[in-house]
Amino acid sequence: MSWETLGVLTGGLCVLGIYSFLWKENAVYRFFEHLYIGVATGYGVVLTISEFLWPKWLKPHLLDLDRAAWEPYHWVNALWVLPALFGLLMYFIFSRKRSWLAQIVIGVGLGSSGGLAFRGFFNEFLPQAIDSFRPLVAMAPGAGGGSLQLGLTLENLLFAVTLLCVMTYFFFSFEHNKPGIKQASALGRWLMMITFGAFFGSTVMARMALLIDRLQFLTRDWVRGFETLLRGG
Amino acid sequence: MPAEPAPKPFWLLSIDRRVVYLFLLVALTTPLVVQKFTSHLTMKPAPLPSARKLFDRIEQIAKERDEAVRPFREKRRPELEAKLAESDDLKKVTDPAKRQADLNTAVEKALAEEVRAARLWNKIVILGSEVEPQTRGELYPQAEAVIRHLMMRRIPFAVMTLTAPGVGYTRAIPDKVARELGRDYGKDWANFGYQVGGSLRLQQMGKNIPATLKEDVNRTPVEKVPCMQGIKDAGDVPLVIEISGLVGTLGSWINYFASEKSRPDMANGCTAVSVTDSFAYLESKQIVGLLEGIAGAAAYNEFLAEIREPDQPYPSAGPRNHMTSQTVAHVLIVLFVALGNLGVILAALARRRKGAGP
Repeated sequence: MSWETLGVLTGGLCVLGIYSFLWKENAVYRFFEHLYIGVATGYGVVLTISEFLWPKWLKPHLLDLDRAAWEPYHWVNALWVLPALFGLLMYFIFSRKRSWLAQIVIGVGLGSSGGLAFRGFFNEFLPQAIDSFRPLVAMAPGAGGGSLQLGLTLENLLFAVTLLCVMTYFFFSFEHNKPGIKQASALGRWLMMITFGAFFGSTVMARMALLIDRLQFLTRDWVRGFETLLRGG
Repeated sequence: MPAEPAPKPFWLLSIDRRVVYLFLLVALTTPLVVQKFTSHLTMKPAPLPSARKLFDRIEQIAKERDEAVRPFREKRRPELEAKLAESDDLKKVTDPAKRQADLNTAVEKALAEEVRAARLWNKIVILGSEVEPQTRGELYPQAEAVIRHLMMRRIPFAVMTLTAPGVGYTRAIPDKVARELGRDYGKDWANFGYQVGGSLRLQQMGKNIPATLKEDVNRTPVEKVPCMQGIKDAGDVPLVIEISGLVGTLGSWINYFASEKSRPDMANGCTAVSVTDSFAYLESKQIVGLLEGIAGAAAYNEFLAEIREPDQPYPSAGPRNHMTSQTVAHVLIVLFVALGNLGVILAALARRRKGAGP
């Protein structure tokens, strides 16, 4: 039996083992759950070492091993060890006396993340805020002002009403018992409920998609794996 | 005094959940099994406008490229035809029709090489592929469809991932499609594997792509990968397609991948769970197109079938079959939701009839 066939057959058993939870909590499910967590963690560690630490940090910067012909070595490259040593200061968090060293790393991390997030906030949300200013009467471009676009007008109206009502619901600086505010807040809550329904619908769709992928695997690849096994492949 | 026995729940509200699972399993599996024997029982997926926008953007890139190289091709074609017609291999072919077909193929191949060497259109599409085992069901067909489109139109692209578990798919998916369409690594696409550093890496890339990526997965320097020659910064990237189940990675590309003078168009392929987040980007035109879960992949494959050349294979029928199963399951779920609500209403009416209040 080839490794590929063995992999497919084992994969099918793992899928069935995990889905046995649908019947009830059982030892087979728990075994495969722990197996999955172990494999996923090990896979992540190995990939981080094989795809990053070794080829992109240790090999080109610190060690003169298996170097590509185009890549000249210079002792300055060894200085790349310094950022890593700085990062390792994080582990002083376990020391009561020297935990302040870890705080330097945390401070640098928070500062750089804050700076990046500041830039990201404007790049990401300003276009969305600007887009929320939409014409409530949408006209098609053309000579003399163009004609009314009824569909787009209704869409923009619905968008504006939803935006204002949901924002009203989240104004907690005053009571929601005044006429107008009360109704807008209630409508905002209903509109959010509809949105959550859409969220849930798309979540169900995603879960179904994953299930179908596994069923396709079982009905196609797994069955083919058994056929190969029976043929002695 | 003995306790009064608890009232028996209404039967519609006391169905064992495993019965529901069983119905769902049958609903999902039946179309998959039937599709093994006949292809007539599949449903045509809906032509999603957001997927069409991404398709049209890639078509537009192909047109821009063709326009840029047209004068060169028109000048070189007669010269190449005259030169290659004299080759010994073609002289041996006796059938005139076959000889003309072979000549056309040889001329097209030579023209493609010369166009590439002349660097008349120095652009590359970037595909950020965070296809992982847990999202593979939806994102693998999306990545396959987009890669197929790029390869069908011979638009060079670079694929990379920001997550470690996605690294295997950055190799497997382009290799599979390239085998079907006869495309070459290096000339038609480049693989930069797992890129560590997230937002910072993208920010560096936006300003200087070769200095940031340095080498491909085969350890070839960026400058020596044919499709990457002459590519400097984000200004040389007309489109970034980010296929991911993580909303944050799309945000990182939008926020940080830009040169000083230009910001490329962005597009997204996402799971159905995160589609509501991605819609905000589509509505505000921060992305030019969106593939929505497996439905997006199925719709995209239909668009690809429309532009398929006679000698090219059909796109995978997998997403279409998948959507048929999903549609059957959705109808069943709607039915169960209606039955559940009916059960609640009938139980309340029954309690009211007995005078126990609502």
